[in-house]
Amino acid sequence: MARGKLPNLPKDMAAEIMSRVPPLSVIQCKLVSKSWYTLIKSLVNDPSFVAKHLRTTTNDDDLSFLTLAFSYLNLPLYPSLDDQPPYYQPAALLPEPLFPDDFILAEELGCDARAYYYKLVKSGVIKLGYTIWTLILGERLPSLGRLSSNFEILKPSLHKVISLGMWNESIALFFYSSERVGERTIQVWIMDDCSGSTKGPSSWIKQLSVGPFIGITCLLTFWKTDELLMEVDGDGKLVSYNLHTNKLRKLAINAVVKMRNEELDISIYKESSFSSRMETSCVLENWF
Amino acid sequence: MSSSSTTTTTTRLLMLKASDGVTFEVEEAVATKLGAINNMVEEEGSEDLICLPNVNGKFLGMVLEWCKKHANNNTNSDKGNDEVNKWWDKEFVMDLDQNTLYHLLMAADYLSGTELVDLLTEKVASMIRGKKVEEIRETFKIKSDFLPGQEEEIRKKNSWAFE
Repeated sequence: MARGKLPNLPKDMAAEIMSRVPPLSVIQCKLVSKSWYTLIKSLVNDPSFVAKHLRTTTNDDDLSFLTLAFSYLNLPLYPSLDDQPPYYQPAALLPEPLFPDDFILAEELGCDARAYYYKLVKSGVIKLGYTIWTLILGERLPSLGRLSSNFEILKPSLHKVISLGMWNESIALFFYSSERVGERTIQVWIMDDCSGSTKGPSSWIKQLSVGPFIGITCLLTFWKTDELLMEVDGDGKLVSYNLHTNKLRKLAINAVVKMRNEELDISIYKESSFSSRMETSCVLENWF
Repeated sequence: MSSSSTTTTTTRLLMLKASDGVTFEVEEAVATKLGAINNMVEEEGSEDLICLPNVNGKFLGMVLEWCKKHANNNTNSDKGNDEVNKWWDKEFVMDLDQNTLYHLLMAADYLSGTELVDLLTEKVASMIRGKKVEEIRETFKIKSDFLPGQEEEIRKKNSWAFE
């Protein structure tokens, strides 16, 4: 009964099934038969499947997805503009000096599942008080198209520390006070850009405000849709804050040995079988 | 229609007619667990006979059996319902062969039985997840039709996945 075979299912249903299978298994299925090979090949080349696959496996409550990495507080990732990687292009020089004396560089790489693009966002505040925001979009980072986009920057007034992250598949910007003592409220802004090919300016939309928290040293990242990962008391201990239940819980990760002046940086890696993703992880490793 | 008086609306019966002419008499509350039927009932209202030309009797019967169990379990407003449903779902998919799975999936999809589609896709995924190529071939009764050398080539191209 040839018609009753699973590769004869409509493609969207096959995609539904395969999105529940871990990446390695998906690739191994290429070897089952010619029709399976064709099916898997067309699935993994389909950005909507890759996005679906990432979404389906995102609920995983497994801490093994957390990879911890350090970057030294006193060493900016890029010491000067001359040392930028060749594909880095400043997008816009904003006229307003926003942070007169700071030197901040942040970057984030993530998959924008709605636009089917991997995005690399860099932000830099350089000494002269000008702000450079660059957004680079591309399916595969090494051979990246140079598509830049301006941001309409928000006025951060009281909030000084900025970090970038991903939230619900969008690029997010976190603001919080640089005061290390007392209460700190965290504002989350989301980039209003999911087109992947926008040429005009993008804008930031204030999404939410959480806290105030006491004893939070550093906001790290979202690691599940609703869980915000934070460092407490500067000793490398991690807490996770759930946006729905408003509950803080301690994470039992003791592997973090933190030295003075070291800044904790956490990246969340997800296993994926798809080549563009593989390349992006390699790129990331080189940077750290 | 005169038959649908106020006293009978709560236990209204629908007739579902499969592609091979087999008919099923089902309570409305059970049948409307299927999105497609729910839509038809809402649109056509008084129509008691619903023809389903894309599903044959055997698989329609199985889909309805699943709906019935879930509808019954949900009427007992116990907290343990989820557990009961889960247990029953497990039983339901346990011994399905791939031919039945295929047709059930198509039927559930056609009838917009979202929960059932989820259950079945998960079942198929579990037959693939973490299995060796040979095991998958055995489960789905597939013979490799690659030419000599082709298999080795695919292995080489995706060597990271086959270490």
